[in-house]
Amino acid sequence: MINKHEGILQKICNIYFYHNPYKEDYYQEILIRLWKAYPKFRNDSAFSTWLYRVALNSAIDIIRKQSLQPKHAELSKSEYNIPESESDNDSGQRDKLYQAINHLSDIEKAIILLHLEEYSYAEIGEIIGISEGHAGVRISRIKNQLIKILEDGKH
Amino acid sequence: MKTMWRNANSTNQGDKSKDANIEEIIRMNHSKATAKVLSDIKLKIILYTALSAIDIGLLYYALVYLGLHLSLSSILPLVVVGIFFFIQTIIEINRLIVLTRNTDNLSVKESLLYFRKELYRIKTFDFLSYLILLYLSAIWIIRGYIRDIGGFQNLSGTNAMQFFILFLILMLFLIPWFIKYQNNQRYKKTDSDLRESTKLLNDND
Repeated sequence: MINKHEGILQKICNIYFYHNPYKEDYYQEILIRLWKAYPKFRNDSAFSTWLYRVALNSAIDIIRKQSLQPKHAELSKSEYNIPESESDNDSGQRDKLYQAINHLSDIEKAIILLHLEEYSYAEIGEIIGISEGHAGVRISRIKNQLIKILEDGKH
Repeated sequence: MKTMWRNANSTNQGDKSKDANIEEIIRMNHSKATAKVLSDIKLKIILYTALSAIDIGLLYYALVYLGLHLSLSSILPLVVVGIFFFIQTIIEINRLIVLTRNTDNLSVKESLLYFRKELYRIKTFDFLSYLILLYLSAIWIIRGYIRDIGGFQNLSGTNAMQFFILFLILMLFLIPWFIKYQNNQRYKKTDSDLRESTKLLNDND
């Protein structure tokens, strides 16, 4: 089942760890946490909704908990066999969009990702833990913010 | 914007071809980087526990097994070092608990609020551990020293040992507040991000 929804994890990793040398490692950590959380999946929402909730929480949690970790604990690039440069051949639009999203806070990233993935305000509200109306207001503000960043390349 | 997103992800198909063996990954407990962080913390816990045990063992051997009546100044370094290792053990255990616990099944907002509580708990725990243990140590050192010199009446402002004890006690009283300040600085950005995110999720206008 995870195989089928693997694209979701890639998108989340791209949003939160774009050009991060440890992206592959974080992808694995999210996958492991999904697997561990799976017994708690109760079929009261669509599988993809549950998957988004767990994967988004995992990604945000990884970022937050970095502040609690000792800095020297990071793996070296050679130790982890990470390519020196991750620059994409077909950067252009893709880079522009991801870089614009990168200006947003972790919560805003989660909201806009769900919106771009065609989730309804009610579903976004359920995953994030806010009301449907509040989700709508937030999306509108984030969209304006993103458009502004995309237009003039700043906040 | 949605068109841009679709285009961006249609050119993203290359990422999927990474031969990430899902079955192999889910058999692991953590990813490599996370496992390394956790094993480093576990190693620290083992090291601090062993050093605390050696320290307590030495004190026990001298004071109980050999029955030596040593003055406070002779055992002071051992006691201070022992306290330090003991505090570090507790702090690292607390950090390990927080790092391994997660709330992935909750909503993003509940998860955020939970992490805020955990961060507050870490900061409070660090501060209180140092405060209680160092203040108790300071009281114990004062009592022991007064007993060693035979009472308050023998205190003189000229003795070098007294200056050293006074300096040490001052340090013991100040260290918890320094730790508190240091933690506030260390988690300043995380704290402000969490505050902003909470505001964003609570703001209904």
